[in-house]
Amino acid sequence: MYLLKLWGRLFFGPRVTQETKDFLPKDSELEQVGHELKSTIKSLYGGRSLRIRAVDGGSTNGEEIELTALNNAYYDIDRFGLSFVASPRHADMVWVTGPVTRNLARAVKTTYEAAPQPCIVVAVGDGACTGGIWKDSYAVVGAVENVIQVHIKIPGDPPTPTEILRGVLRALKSAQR
Amino acid sequence: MMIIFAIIQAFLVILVAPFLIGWVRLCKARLQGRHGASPLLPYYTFLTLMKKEIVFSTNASWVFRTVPFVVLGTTVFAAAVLPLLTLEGISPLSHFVLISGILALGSVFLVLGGLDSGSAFGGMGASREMTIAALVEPAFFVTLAGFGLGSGTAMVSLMIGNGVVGWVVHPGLALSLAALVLVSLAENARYPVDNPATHLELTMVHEAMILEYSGPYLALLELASWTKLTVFVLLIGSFLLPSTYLLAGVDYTLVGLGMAVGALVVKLIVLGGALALLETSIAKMRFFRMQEYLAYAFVLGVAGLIITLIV
Amino acid sequence: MIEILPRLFVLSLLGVLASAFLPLIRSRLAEWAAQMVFIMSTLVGALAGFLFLLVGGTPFLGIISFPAVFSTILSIDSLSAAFFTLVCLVSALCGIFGLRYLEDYREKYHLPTLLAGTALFVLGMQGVLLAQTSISFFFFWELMSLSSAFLVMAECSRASIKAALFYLTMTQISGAAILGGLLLIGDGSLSIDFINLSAAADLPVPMLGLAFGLFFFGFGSKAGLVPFHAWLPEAHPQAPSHISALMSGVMLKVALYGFLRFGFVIGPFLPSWVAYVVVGFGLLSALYGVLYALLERDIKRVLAMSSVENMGLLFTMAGVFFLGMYGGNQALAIGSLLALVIHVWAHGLFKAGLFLSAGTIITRTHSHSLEAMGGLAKRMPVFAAFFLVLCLSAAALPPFGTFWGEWMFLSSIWQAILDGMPGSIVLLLIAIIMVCVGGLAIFAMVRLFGISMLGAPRSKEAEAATPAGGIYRFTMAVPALLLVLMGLFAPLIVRMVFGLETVQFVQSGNYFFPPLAGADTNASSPLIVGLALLAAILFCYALRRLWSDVRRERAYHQWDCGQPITPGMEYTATAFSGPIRFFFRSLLRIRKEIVATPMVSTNPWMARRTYSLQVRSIWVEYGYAPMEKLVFWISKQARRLQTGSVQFYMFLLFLALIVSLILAL
Repeated sequence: MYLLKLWGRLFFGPRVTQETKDFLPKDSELEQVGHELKSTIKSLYGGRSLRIRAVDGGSTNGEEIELTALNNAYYDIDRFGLSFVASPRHADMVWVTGPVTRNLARAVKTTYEAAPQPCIVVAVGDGACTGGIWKDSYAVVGAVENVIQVHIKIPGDPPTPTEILRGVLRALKSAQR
Repeated sequence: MMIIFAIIQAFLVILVAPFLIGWVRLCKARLQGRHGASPLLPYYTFLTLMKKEIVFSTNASWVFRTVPFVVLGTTVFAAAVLPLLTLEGISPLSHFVLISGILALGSVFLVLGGLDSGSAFGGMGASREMTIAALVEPAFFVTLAGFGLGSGTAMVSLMIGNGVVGWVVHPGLALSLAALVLVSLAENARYPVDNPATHLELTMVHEAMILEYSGPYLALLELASWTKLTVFVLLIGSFLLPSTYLLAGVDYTLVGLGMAVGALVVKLIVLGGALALLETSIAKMRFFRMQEYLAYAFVLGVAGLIITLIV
Repeated sequence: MIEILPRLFVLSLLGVLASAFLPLIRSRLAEWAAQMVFIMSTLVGALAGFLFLLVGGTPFLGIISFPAVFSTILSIDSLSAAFFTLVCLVSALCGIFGLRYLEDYREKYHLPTLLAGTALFVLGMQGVLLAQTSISFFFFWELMSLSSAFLVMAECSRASIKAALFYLTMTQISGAAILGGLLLIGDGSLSIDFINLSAAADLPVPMLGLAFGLFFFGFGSKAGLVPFHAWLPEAHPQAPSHISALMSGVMLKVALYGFLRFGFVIGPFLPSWVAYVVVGFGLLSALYGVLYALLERDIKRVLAMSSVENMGLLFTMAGVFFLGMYGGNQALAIGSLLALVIHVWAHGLFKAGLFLSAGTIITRTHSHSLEAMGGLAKRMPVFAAFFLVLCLSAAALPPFGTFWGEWMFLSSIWQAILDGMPGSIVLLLIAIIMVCVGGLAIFAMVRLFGISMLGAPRSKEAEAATPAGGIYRFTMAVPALLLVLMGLFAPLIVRMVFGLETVQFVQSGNYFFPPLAGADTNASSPLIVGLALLAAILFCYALRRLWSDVRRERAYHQWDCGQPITPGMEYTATAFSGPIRFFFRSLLRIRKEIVATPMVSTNPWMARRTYSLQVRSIWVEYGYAPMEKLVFWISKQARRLQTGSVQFYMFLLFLALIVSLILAL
């Protein structure tokens, strides 16, 4: 009986995913992204299926919470062909969060190197973009740029899931055009 | 003629395999209240992976490189000889012991690939996969033996291609069919044996073995697992309702082929939906309770077999 | 052609005999010559056996006969030829392996003794297979047993001497049982010709049953059937690797041959439950052997337990042969006999090959433990390829020879069930247990290959391993290649061994090798499976070659989650079998202990932990150990007789004489 109730809810329950147009800007708002990124995404079959490996470079976990939110039913990152994977070997993108601490610099570097080329690096959050409030601290290396080359920067402390999606999709869209 | 038919069938199954997995994922997403990705996404994933670079472990030997080919090759073999399209195709290579041997060969190579990288997760996945594969073997055997007993043959193609619906004639085979479903879930690393979408290394079975693969090798391995799922889904579909039964009298004509393909797609859509529903309704089992699950499958299969033998 | 065959057999026997005495001349040249003569004469033997099978048509061929005294001492028929060829072939391989292996271990072994012992051992096996009278059979049987016991202690270590003594005890008990059996069926005479054995049918059934029981115990314990197997995992790993290969690969087969030789004669006169006994012991051995094969960590013990498993399967096949005979189902009987012969060949080849590979691995890693290996596939790629073929054969996977043997067996059982043979449920049960064993055997062999060859090296020695030399490689290549050929041409072998008629008979049953529509290729079905599989794999390779860019490859260390990992973090052999150990914990006797000793007295959480896992055997604990105690107790009591006074001994002698006189009258 309980199972039937569950199935009823599954079949006829509400769909909670937000419509794309609600949070994605119009095409005219798209920024220009770098030439290199464009060719990279093009070579990845138009960026219709991108697999993401998220690396914590020493963040406050704020960004991680936002990344987790991307997977939930409301944002549903899957529908854009983006999915998180368990190994950098499978990844087309590496998302790095947080100011890279000295202890995790190796992890960030090896993750990038372990991923097959072409691989897009996205710096998520202020810490990853610039070093944020930890900039110039003795314990951090600073922005992700100091360790590996970065293609997309998404500022915010932490950026909302919408902002993250917007940043990545903007890059994809402009490359596809 | 039969060889051409087998090749056509193999190509068809490989072609629809990514769609099936995409469809299952879409259904699951919808059942979870999500929008879900396009069912064509696995095709793009495959194409993207084929274009990428391969990074292999410094510990890896030549075994690591042969694994994707053997794993996909055994799956293609199964896709070619099993009666999935069921026009009147009767393949002499579909002896059920041979089929379980060939599928075991595929699992063995997958396991070797998992061990070869020298990472801890690979070994863990390999050990678990091998345990499941070793214990599923007898269950798979008794299941197919039940169907064979019902139709008096050892060839899977004759079990299906003889124009009767086995479980209608021998009701005991309904149990075998249930066992086949359980075996298929275990063989294909689906719920409740494995979580195909997990990111937690410690709960992985299938994923843990292919963590080290990248680029085209990963593409081939993913395609192999998708094809294997398709083969099993279609096999269940064929046992449930053989197309020969539906398409009696239609021969190797183009119309007949078209109808068979149509029936195949319908089966995929219906059974894929059912798989998604199942996976949404149940939870994953603890790995160390797996022996109970495999015992269910085995006992169901034996029950079906013995009822068919006695009645 | 047929005229020179006996001479070839004699040449082979004489050559092996000569190579047993050549090393007595203490010089390097003589040792070398002995080895060469040994290899040559075993090759001649293999050739002779092969020719005999090829010619066919002659069911029986006398080799040595003294018409005046005994009729024939040595002879050959197609059953013994199938075994003889295998024995000679494997012996030749082991001889070739020894050329290099003994050179590497010159300090460890006393070479002349070892060479002489090996030659006598092989001579014994050849003789058992060719023997035509009870006395020659028993003579060669004891030659084989005794010489192999001395070979086990070749290392002269405490463990090897202990194992050899255990082996010697068991083999003497089994020898006594066989002697009893021979005396029973010969009606007290040992010079009975095997051709006249059917006269034994005149004996009363209980006597025949007793003889069968004695033979089953004698040959079964020599073949390592559970529960008489306990010596096997002790003795086989202690011998030098090529001797282990001979013992596991062919000596066990010789025991099986003995069982078949006498079972065929006595069997028909016995009640049909005898077949169930044979099957029962066979299945028990198979299940027990495979469970321990996937627990052991010593590479040679893994192989030894796998031999127990395979001998169990072979005895099951023999038992099903009897079932078929008693049930009047000729197809089942012949099908399982064919399967048995193929499996004998396959097991002989892959087990010999695997033991030789184990020897090669041990020359590299200097350890028997699987936990000290790993990463060898990268360092010895060609070696690993052959090893993989052998392991896959041992796992009975298609398209290798072993698979077709088991397939034939399952197919003939299957056909018997479909034909509605009475007792189908039992046949079904046999098939199901066989498949369970098959699944676990795959696990054991994958573990063996995966842990020893793949991943990162787990020890310094494995890290520094160098590719194996030409001779090592060659001796593995031959069995591997033969197994591949067997996998492709299994029906041809059947035809060769049993003549065309059987094959036609079996084919008319239409289940054996499924016919391809409209083509007269019934017998080449395994070939088609092999080719189809190869085509499918090549298709996938082409997909990769043609579609993706082959040059885009890069080596990078394994994914480590950002922290450097060491080989110590890899899955070990013990961990790999963990789930199976857990699932079968009620069947296995395992003692697991985790001991935590605090490193500092103030902090209990900082502890050094030792994990120990003991795999014990039910049979040894509850069977052998009490028996040993009993024997010691009896010996202690018997010591009271040893008073040291001659008169008392004379009195005992006198008493014995009186008793035997009373018995005789």
